[in-house]
Amino acid sequence: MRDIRKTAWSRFGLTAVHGWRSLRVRMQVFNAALLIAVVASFGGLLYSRAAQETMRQVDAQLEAAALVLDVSLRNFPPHELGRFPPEFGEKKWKQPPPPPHGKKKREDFVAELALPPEIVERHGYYAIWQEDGSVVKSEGFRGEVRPATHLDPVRLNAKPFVLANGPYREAWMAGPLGTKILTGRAIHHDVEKLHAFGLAILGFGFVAVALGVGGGWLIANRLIRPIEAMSSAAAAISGDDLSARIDSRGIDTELAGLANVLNEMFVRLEGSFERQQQFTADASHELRTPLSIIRSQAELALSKPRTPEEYRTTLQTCLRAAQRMSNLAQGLLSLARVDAGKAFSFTNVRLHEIVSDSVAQMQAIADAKRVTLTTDLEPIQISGNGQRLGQVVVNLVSNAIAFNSEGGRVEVRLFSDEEDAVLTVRDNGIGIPARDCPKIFQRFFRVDKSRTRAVGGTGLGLAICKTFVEAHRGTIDFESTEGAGTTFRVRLPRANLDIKRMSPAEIRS
Amino acid sequence: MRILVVEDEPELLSAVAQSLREEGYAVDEAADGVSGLFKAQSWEYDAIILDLMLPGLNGWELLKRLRKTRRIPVLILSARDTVEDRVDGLDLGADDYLVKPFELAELHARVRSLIRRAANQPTARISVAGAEVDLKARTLKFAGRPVELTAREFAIVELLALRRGEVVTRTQIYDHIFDENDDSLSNLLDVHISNIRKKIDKDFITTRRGQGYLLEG
Repeated sequence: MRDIRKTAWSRFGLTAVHGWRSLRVRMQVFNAALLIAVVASFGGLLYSRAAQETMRQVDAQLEAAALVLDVSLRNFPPHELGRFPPEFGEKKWKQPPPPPHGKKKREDFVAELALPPEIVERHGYYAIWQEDGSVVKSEGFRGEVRPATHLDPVRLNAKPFVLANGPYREAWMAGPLGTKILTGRAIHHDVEKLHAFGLAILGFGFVAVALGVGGGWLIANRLIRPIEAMSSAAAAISGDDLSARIDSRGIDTELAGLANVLNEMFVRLEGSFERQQQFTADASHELRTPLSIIRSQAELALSKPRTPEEYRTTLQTCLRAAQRMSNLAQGLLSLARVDAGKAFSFTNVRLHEIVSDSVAQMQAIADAKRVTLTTDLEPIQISGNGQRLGQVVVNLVSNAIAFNSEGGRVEVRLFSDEEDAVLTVRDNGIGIPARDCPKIFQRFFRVDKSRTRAVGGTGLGLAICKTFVEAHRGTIDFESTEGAGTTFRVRLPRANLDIKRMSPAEIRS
Repeated sequence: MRILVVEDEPELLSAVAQSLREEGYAVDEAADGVSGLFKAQSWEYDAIILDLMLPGLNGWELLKRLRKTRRIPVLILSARDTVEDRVDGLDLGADDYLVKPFELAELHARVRSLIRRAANQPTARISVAGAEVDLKARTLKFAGRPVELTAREFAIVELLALRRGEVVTRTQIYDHIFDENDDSLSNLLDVHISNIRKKIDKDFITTRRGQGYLLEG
């Protein structure tokens, strides 16, 4: 396969297809793009979910810590948080209320305020302001904690919310009795973990894409290879190597069907080329025979002095042979023209006149053999080539006379049925042997070589009839009984072929 | 020498046969494969000229069947000219292959060559019994001087010369000198032999009583 590929590809200038024109490249690009899109979006989704989740956990931590502080704050007696007895505020106290937890002092309460260790580990910090803005407690801050005057009290709820603050996240809430609670922690550690995760995803994504593209390339190759094999095999079908076939055993996809169709086509092509070569060989063979006759007869006549009678005989023989070659050349040329797809010119022809003219041409020969020629012609006009149709009639009638005996009859009829003009040529001659019937339209086939030779025939008459009739989109067939006679029937469509010049190849298709 | 020509084109057959007869050969003709094979198997020909595209039995079949029983030299004369055709023909048993159209002179030369080869005679000149026989020119010199022989006489001398040293029976001579259309009486042979002796030398042809004739030396 490689060798056919190299020679065939280089001979036909089939370069390996590059760039965007290549199926491989396109498949690769689409595959890679799709893979990258899928992997990227999936990875992105994963990463954003991870990020969300991380932050959610951090926030939950901070909120929980804030709530814990809130609960601890609620243990504080109000006046420890700056809410004084009624003389200064809403409620009236007769005496300062007793501390709820025994003799606990403010410091004790303050000491209870603490962050859970998980947050402390992460550079956690917190601050609690009283209503008047002073700090109740703060831990984890570097430097002074500003009074909370910059905060808008309305924004704070009893429910904590979290804000980002540079490398930290902070939970804010409104505590009891107008307090403000802040918990915060650093998140750079989490961010680093997230970034690591992101890199891992990226790495995995690259590997996945690489694997996918690599795998895709392999698959594409497997798919493309049969297509390239088919191209190579098709390219190898030249005049030299018609026997190339695609090996469809290794293909199990839809391409197998294509390979089979192509192989069948190659078989038909090979057959057609072989028939063509056979025809050429036969033609050359046929021409050589009369040539040898002329040559040998002339050489013999000239080899020593001869009588005038001998010279005359020799010259007559040479003339007959020359006529034979001329008939052959004529027949071959007609066939070659049709084979080459050259157009016949079609005009409106009076079929009955053509038939009667052709029959008239054969009258002398019929008389010489004492064969009766009769005609029964209906006036019919069709679109066709008058000269070629005339030749068909001449060939058929000539055969009917040649393969007849003295005193025989040849009847020529022309009539029309619904669709076609029908021409029949019937004789009561020797008929065609059954075993020869399938072959009579073959070029150069002769049932009786000596009889054909005697009338200067070429073996091409019926082949020419068939070719010409088919060029008119017609059909020709026959019935024959050995010893009783033969009838040939030609059907020509009457439907107007409104294209004046059509190549026979087009007509046949 | 007697030749069989098998060819279905009558005008070619007659030209070839006549040209060979004018060269002094006895020539039989066949126009189809069946009668060609029949004749080839019935007579002792010195060479057969065989066309391939014959009605009835084709040339290849004829050759194949002939070669089962006969070693007669065969020259194929055919319009089929491809290398495969020539190789097939020669491999099937033909001794030579000549493509149509051909020159009669070449055909004659090849036939002569076939006959010489069959008789193991390398050149066209034979020296025997004091005579110089030129197979190509169809002349004879005895003791230096040329001798005029008729075509038949030369044919007899040619036959004996090619088989020099061997006894050739009368029947054999007859079969190789006359073709099928010749119904000459066999004692015509004696007349020819006698004439040859008169023209050349009375001891030129040796008689073996009851067996035949030969040329010695």
